[in-house]
Amino acid sequence: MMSDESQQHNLPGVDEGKASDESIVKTHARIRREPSNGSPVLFFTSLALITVLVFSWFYLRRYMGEKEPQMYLHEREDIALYRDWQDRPRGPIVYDYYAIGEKLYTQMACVGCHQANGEGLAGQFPALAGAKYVTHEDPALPTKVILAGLTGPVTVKGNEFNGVMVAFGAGMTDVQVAGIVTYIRKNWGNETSEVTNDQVAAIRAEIGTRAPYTAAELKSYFE
Amino acid sequence: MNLISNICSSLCSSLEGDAKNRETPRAIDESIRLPLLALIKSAAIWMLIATVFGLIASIKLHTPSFLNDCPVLTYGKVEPIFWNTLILGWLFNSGLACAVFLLGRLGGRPLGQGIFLTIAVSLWNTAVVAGVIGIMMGGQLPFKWLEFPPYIAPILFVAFLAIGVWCAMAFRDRANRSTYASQWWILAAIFSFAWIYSAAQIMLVCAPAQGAFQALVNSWYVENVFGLLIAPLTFATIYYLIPKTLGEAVVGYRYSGVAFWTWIFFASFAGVAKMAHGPIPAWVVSLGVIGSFGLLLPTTTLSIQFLSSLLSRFSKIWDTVSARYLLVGCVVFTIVMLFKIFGSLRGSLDVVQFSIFDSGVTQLALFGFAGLVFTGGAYFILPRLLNKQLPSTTLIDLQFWAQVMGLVLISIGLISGGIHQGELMNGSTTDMLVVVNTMRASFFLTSMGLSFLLVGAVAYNVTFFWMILSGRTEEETSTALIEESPELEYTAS
Ligand code: HEC
Repeated sequence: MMSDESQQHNLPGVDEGKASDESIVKTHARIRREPSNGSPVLFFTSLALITVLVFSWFYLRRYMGEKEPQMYLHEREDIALYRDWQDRPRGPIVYDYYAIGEKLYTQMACVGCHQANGEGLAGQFPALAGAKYVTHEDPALPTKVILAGLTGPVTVKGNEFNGVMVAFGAGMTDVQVAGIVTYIRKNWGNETSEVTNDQVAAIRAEIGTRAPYTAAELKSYFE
Repeated sequence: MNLISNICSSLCSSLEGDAKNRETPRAIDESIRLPLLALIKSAAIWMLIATVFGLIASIKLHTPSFLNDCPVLTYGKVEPIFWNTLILGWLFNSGLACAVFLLGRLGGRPLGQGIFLTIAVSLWNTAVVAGVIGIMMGGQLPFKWLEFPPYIAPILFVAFLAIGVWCAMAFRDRANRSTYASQWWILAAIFSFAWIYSAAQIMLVCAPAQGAFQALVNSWYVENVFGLLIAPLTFATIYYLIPKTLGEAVVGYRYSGVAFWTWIFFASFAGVAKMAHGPIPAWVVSLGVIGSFGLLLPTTTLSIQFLSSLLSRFSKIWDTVSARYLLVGCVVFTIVMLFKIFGSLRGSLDVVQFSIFDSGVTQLALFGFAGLVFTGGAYFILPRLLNKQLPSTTLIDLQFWAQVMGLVLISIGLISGGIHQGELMNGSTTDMLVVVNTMRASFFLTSMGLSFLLVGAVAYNVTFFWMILSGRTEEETSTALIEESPELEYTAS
């Protein structure tokens, strides 16, 4: 309270205390006990309460209702995308055997002996193009040769050979074998049926691990 | 020599005049004069230090070569020093000063163990000084607002426990058996801070949590330092100063309990929303957003209580120093909370998450809301404590307007600048250099704002030390300087 009247402060040097401490405590305690009497505070507090409840309800439904297992995704669209990806149709796998075989023909070095044009080398390696072992109606024949190998005298397209074709079965999967057999049966003008990995698996199981075939053993295919 | 005798007379005044005048309040003030002066003195000095460091940090953002050669003043050190001195230095001390005063006055009985409190406060401030030096020496921790080297934490904690125990005792020993909202908020602040500080220290320093969880704990702590320590102390001060300076009961006081409990509840998990899109489960973020948004409820109650109490007595506000600060503080509170609430929604975070927006809102909350209210509190307390007038109200006018100007500039610089920055960064075609250059203007505004705040801080210090050091005038030796407060009028509507 300013006591010096002559001094004209725009602000007083001491802020006036306009309520005693005890009365502040007591009066307010009384206000709390009084019945409610619709003040603006009550109105806006209720409004805020409703807003918060409504917001929380929708927000939790929006962001907690849908989750993916790791729970890192926030947005509904992202979760939907993730779900779609997880639930994508997973039917039987379709292999492009020809394409697989095309690559393997070089990778497995067939090309080194039987040549890129499939004609082989005269006197050393028999041709694959138009060879009866390759184009036989039963794909089991070339499959067996590749799985277990071929040795001893053999006649291909009228030429005599007597070399060794090693077994490739141990180093290749069924799919790979099916790929390479399909490739040689459909390339260089050969137009015979493809072979699937299931067929290869069956043949592999049938012949087991064995020594390379001889032409004599395979004679039954040509009778 | 003269100065020393003046200090002595400030500290232990033997007043003349009617000894019956304001006997109880004077006895209470007497009993806590020493710790209160220690707190306000530390607060004033820390305010200056924090503002200086804030200014240096801000200048470095637009003029990187500033103080380039000084290894203890690199940006990485100045910035944490700014925040830590701002919170643990200025706001903690000034908030606690208000709290101690309120505990005494509302309790209605002189408080014992003032020396104990003074020692605890000195220990706290020594620890903060040591922490600042620790940061300067390069020993800082990587956690926001917990950068002090690890050996500081136990000292701070012990000092805080001592302060807390003192406050709890002061509350227990009160003469008025009914309680007032201010007291709830003070107790809540004390218990919460002991909780969040120890929890954060344990999970970050003693037995560090792994990976992303660390960041989660840290952002929880940061938000709660405001929500559960600084803001409660500020509410306590506001609740007290409104009836005290306006002579009227707080409008809608009935609903203070609702505001109190909902604030404590929602604030305790609000900070987590900031981790949105981080490597933590989305539902944690969702809960955090709910926490932040839930604050709309107590914010509404408190804002309407404060603002309608203040605005109904608008004419009285401008001729009372503390009420002015109170008014601006309360307006800033409402604005800050709206920024905080709507800034924590996922949609807003997409824009402002990695911008300077958050720093702006935080600075506004700390300087503008807590800082102003505590300053108002100190200007109410000081004349009573020393039985002296505020030496120059022109200086206080200057301080007030400098602080308001500073806050406006900081808000424009950081908050609107932050929104702009976020939008630019989201537009993937914008060149990074364009963003940086646009921000330069914002940082420049912020530096100007901080310069204004520095003027305010200097004025505050001058006022404080002037008051302590000046001799008593004739009227200041008399108990009649301050009049007895009348009873609080209240007519149930
Ligand atoms: C080291 C050289 C060599 C390599 C490599 C080689 N073969 Fe042969 N292949 C031969 C020889 C030699 C014969 C004939 C074996 C015999 O004389 O009994 C033969 C025979 C064949 C036959 C049966 C005869 C025919 O021409 O119809 C087929 C089919 C065949 N090879 C396919 C392949 C495939 C497929 C590959 C690659 C996975 C391959 N070969 C790799 C040397 C090779």
